[in-house]
Amino acid sequence: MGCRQIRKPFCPEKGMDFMNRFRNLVTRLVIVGLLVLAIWIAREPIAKQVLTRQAENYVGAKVEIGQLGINSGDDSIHLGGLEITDPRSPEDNLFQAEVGRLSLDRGRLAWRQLSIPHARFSEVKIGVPRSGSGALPNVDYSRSNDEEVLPTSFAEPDVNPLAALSQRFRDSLTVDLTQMLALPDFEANDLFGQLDTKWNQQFKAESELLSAIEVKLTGIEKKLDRSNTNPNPLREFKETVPAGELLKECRSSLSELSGHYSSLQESANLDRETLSSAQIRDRQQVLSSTAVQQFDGQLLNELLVGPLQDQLAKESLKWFRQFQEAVPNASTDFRSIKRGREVLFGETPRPPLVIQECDVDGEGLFGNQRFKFAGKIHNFSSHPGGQRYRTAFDVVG
Amino acid sequence: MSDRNRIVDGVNTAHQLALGVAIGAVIGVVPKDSAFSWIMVLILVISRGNLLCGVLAAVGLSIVSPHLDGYFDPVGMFVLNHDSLQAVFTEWIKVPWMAWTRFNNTVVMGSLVCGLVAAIPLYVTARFFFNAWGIALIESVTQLPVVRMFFGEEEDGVPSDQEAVLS
Repeated sequence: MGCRQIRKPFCPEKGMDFMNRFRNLVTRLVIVGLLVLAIWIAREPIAKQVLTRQAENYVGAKVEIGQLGINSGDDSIHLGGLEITDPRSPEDNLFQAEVGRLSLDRGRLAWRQLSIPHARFSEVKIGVPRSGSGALPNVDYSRSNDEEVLPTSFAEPDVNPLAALSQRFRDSLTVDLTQMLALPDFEANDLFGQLDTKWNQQFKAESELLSAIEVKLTGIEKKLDRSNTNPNPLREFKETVPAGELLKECRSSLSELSGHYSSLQESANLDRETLSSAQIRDRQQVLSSTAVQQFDGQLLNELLVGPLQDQLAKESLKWFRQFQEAVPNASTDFRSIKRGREVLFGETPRPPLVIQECDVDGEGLFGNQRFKFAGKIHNFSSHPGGQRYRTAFDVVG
Repeated sequence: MSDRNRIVDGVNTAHQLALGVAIGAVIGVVPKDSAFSWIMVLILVISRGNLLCGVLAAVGLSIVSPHLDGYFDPVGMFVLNHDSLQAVFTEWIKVPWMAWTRFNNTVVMGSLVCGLVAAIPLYVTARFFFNAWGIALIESVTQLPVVRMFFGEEEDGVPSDQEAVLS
C-alpha cells in the first residue's frame, strides 16, 4: 500500500517526508495570506467592532457606531451615527453625533494610543433618550449619587430680580427733565425785565435834570465872561445879577438831583434784594423740579451685597455643579470593564485615547433646559485626571 | 510510541491533534486584545497543529478564561514584579509596537504564563486521549449529520486500524 493511498504524513519513503512537510507549510502560509487579505478587506468592520468593544469596556455601557470609514490617504476615520450610552442612566445617551471625523496620528499607534490631533463632531446631541436600554449585561448601574440640584430657569426675563433691582437703582439716578420743561418762566428773569424798564426811565429823568443844570451853568459862564471883558462897572453889575439867579437855580437843581440820587440808592438796594430773593426762589424751584436723588444706601446694599446677590451666588454654584454633573467623571461614573492591572515600568501612563482638539456643535440637555452649543474641547482623553492631559471646554451655548 | 498512535486521518496524527489543542488553549486563555493571542494564532496556523482542535480549544477556553482572571492576576503580578525580570520588562516597554502585547497587564501576563505552563501537560494528556480514543472520536464526528451536510461524504472513509498501521 503506497503512501498516497493511505495519506500518511510521515511517509517512510526517502525524500517524501520533506516534501510533505513543505507542502503542508505552503498550505498554511497560503491560509495566513488569505487571513491577512480577509482582514485587510474587512478592516472597516473589524475596526468598528474593536472600537465599539474598547469604548464599551471603557464606558461600561453600550456604544453604537452606525458607519465607520477609514481613509488611508489622510489617516482619518469617518464615523456616522455614533451613540454612547450614559452609564449613569442607561436609558439616555451620554453623547450622540450624526457625523464625526477623526484625524489620526499614525506614529502614536506604535504605543497603542489612539492620538487624534484634530476631531470634529457635528449635530451632537447630549442627554437624548435612547430608543432602547443601553445597559450591558453583568454591569451594576445602581446609582448612589446625591439628589440632583437643579438651578432655576434663566429663560424667564420677567422674573429676573436682579434686573428689576438694577433698574430701580438706575431710575433713582436719572434726572427727570419732564418736570423742568413744565416750569413757568423764572421770576428773576421777569423781575429783571421790569427793573430794567424802571431804571432806564429813572436814569432818563436824571439825565434831563443834569442837562438843565449844564445849560444853566453854561449861561452863568457866558455872563461872567462878558463882565470880565466890559470895563463899565454898571454894565458889569447888570450882567452879574442874572448870573446869581442862575446860580441859585443851579443850586436848587443840584439839591433836587441829590435827593433823587438818595432815593435811587434806596430803590436800588430794595430792587437788589428783591432780585436776589427772586433768584433764590428760582434756584429752589429748579432744584426741587430736577431733584437729583441721593444714593439710596439701602438700595445699593441690596443691589451689591444683599440677599439677592447671595441667592444669585448660590444659583451660580448650582450651575457649576450642574455642569460638573453633566460631564461624567470617568473614575466614578463609568463602569469600566477591566481585566487585570497595568504595571508601569518607569513610564508615565499613556491614555489609550487622546483628542487634542475637537470641534463640536449640536444641542444638549443641561439643567433641564435644552441648549444649542458650539465650540472646542481641548485635550480630551480617556484619563482626564492627569496633569498632562487637562481637559478644557471652550463652548458657547 | 507505536505507529498506530501517529495516524488518525492522514494529516491528523495524535501529535497534531494534541498540538492543536495545546496551542488553542493558550490562545483561549490569553485576552484577545493582546497581540500575544494573535501571535499564537499565527503559530497555530503555520504549525502542524490541527486547526479544528485549536479553534475548538480556543473558543472553549475563551468562554471560561474571564472567570479565571482572579487566578491569573496574582500570577501575572508575581511575574511582573519579579526582580530579575525588571530590567527586561523596562526595556520591552520602550520597544515600539510592544505595547500591543499588553505584557504589562497582570491578567495578560498571568494567563500567558499559566497557558504556556499548562500547555505541556495538556499536550501530553491530549496525546494520550487521542491515542486511546482519537479514531473513534474522528469517526463519530465525521458521521455527524451536520458535518456530513457541510463537508460531504468522505470518499475513502476513515482508514481502519489495519490500514493505518504501517506494514
